[in-house]
Amino acid sequence: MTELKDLVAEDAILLDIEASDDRSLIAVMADALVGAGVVGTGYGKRCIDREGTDPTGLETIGGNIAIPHAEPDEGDTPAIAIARLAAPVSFGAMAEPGETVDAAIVFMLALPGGEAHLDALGRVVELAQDPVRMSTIMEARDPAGVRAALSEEAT
Amino acid sequence: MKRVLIVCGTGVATSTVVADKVRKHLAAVGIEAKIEQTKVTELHRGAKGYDLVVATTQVPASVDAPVVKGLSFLTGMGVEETLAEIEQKLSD
Repeated sequence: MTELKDLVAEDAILLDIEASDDRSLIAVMADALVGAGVVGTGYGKRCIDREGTDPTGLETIGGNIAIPHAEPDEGDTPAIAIARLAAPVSFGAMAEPGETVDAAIVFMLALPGGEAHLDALGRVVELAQDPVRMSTIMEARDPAGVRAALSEEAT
Repeated sequence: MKRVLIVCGTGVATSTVVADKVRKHLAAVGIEAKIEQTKVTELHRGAKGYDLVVATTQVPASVDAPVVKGLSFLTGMGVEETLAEIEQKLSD
């Protein structure tokens, strides 16, 4: 079973970043994944397009999040980028047209199909519903602190 | 045997997360159900033959089965209410 923390490279953990809107944040996060060598350069554009038609903001027990994603290319490595925002960024709410969610933490999921991917999605959902681990992410001083919150043993 | 269709948007299959929770709950309360998953883009033919649709996305008005919003399984908020609604709609 793939652990969440193994899918998140430390250089794809962006702390206290500033973004004017969801599109620019998605672009920055996709750049981090491109820089980490896990997805191709078209990934960010596909995420932005998809966010426009099918937004991913979620108001969870653990806080407001968004999970922008698109289908990765063949050959991309399964990966997750995490952004903690200096100030919340407004995302469209999933399944609630016209509603928005001011996301504080954003998980960009670059996960190909198959069991491992579904498992990882389930783990992101569990994490978002865990106020203890979410506050660990909010308070982490560095990317290593964020990764610690990703392991289930951290709670 | 009831038939339940779990529907998500394109991309990451949130329906699998939801299907898992619905399956466990229905088993726990003793409702026999066959649970299937699809993407909303596959729903253009409607949901003929299904007793219930649980969706994490907007479903077209043409869907002719009762629809329950499954977003609570992703957010953790209102899960009990959603499960109660699912049970109630399946026993109608």
